[in-house]
Amino acid sequence: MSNEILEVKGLKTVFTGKKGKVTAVDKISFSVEKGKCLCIVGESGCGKSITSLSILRLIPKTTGTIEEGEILFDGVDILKLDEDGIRKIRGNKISMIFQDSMTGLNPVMTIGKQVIEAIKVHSPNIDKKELEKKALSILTDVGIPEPAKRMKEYPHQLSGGMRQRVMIAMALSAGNNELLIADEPTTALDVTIQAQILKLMNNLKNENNTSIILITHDMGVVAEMADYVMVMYAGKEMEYADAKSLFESPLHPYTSGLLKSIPKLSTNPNEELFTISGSVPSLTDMPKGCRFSTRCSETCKKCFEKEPPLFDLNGHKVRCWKYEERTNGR
Amino acid sequence: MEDKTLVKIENLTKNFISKKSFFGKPLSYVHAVDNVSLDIFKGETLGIVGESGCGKSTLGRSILRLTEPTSGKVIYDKTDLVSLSKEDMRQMRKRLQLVFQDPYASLNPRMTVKDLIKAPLDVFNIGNESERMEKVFQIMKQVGLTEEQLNRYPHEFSGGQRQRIVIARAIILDPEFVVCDEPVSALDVSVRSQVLNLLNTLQKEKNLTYMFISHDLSVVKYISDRIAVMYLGRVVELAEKDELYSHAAHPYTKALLSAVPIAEVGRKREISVLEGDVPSPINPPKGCYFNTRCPYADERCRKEKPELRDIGCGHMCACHKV
Repeated sequence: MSNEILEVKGLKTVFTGKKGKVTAVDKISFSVEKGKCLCIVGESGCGKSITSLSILRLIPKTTGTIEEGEILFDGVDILKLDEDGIRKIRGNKISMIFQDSMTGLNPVMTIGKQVIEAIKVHSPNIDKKELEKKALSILTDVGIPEPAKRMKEYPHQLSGGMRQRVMIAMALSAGNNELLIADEPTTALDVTIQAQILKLMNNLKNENNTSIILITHDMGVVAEMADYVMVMYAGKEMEYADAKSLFESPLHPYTSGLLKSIPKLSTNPNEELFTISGSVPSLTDMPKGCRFSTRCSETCKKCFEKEPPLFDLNGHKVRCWKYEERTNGR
Repeated sequence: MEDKTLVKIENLTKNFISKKSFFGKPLSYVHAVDNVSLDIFKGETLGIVGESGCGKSTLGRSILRLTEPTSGKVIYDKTDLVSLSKEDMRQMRKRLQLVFQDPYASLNPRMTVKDLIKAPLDVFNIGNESERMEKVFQIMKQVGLTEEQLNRYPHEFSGGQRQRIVIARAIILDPEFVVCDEPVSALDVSVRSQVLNLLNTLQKEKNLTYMFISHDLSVVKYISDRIAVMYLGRVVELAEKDELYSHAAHPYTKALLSAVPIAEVGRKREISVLEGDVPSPINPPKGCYFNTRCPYADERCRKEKPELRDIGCGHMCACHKV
């Protein structure tokens, strides 16, 4: 399948702390197609950010290791590359946008300098005039008003939305991006600014055929952006499907619970909101069977004994024993 | 209508000094809350929405005098809170409470749950020790905490449970009016709905009046009866919730509503993406504050400040064009 830009197989990322080993991402597999957007959804601590950091090999070496798995980017296993090899991909072919634009930018460097630096790293032979021209055009592309003036300013002089645009500009600076990983790019922003940034990312996808992995906890953003959705819970992928079938017929009790518990603009206020009881189990203290079994309302005996595998129902994958028979029947 | 009003806010203004001269003379101000007048009715939930920096939290805090308002009146039960003496205000606080946004920062990490919830009773010297404990048990049950958790510390709890402690502490004195400042923003989706349901149940049981501050429009719609939309320190629109969501009149409200992503696929929305950013509250534009981003702005909007006026059935809007 040459249509896939990224294929992750059985990725397992482990952190070692005082209390021993914690498996933050536990053998997950997924793939991203060219020019499509995959959204990874889940609550805090479910391992969605760690997944994205693992792809770029940005896991801090002192505490974390990728124990198992393959990450195939264009057919090459990223995990087997040496430091030089990964540097050629990182920021060049795969770029990343972080959540917090204030900490993502250097506060004592002007915007222009930072963007120019990002371009220079990947194409060291361009002269200074050319660099400035290129930075200016990238900043114009991401919709920054008066880019020439902004280039001389420092991050604190820009608003949150503007800073996030600069971050996107830097991510795009290499020019031959094939995959953009955005980790909660709009969470810190207001809704009207969020709409601007999402529009910008959609343009990128449509015009440059860039693939996007968008990490978020906001189901609304998912509905807006996603072609495919992966729902994560406590380090495991629970459901993987195209956006339409996920929203219209969610299979996993966790996914449907999540969707039902969001107050929509159309929710009747006299009805009680649907709730998922309890809270996410700690990674050091996982239940034995299915990870969601402690909070699930549709459990059977098997759920507490054995972890379900990922059942494939015509491309709609789900990790729940409820669907065991439906796959066997086929 | 008059007797239904619980809190009447008149021309409330809060300016923060942003720059001082060498001798301490203020040079420029941040106009955080600018001439806000609102009525809050008994037993209702008034939602306040707006983007960050629009003054919604400052408004909530000024009403309770947690930040001293610069001018204006807050009339509660026939008394003006702004002119009360410190001790009178302290007594008044029994009836006015606040739930903060961040359940991690608003609980003292060195106090047990018991002490945290009991603290208001201790402060106001209500009842003896056994009566206090009885009250604590009763409240804990109401907010869904168990007795075994009595002697634990805040770090042992998850975000949702901490917020339950914060709520328990706020309602133990049986207040009439509670300002909820983004109470669910820091919580995960699956826990958020638990806390919203709790707030709703408590309101019914205790006949509370809420002022619910949030930037999340779908949460506000779910919990509120009436909603006020703020922009740069001013209320630009105020209406019954259904009226507001179906017939938004102010261009800013319209843009805000259309920008909310909806968790349904295949529903094509008409997005009116706003250009630009919110202007600085130090130097707000002349005339209507929204004129720099408004697609309908004309000469009048740039010169004349629109007043909040009734456009029918209690639907208030501050726009020349409506």
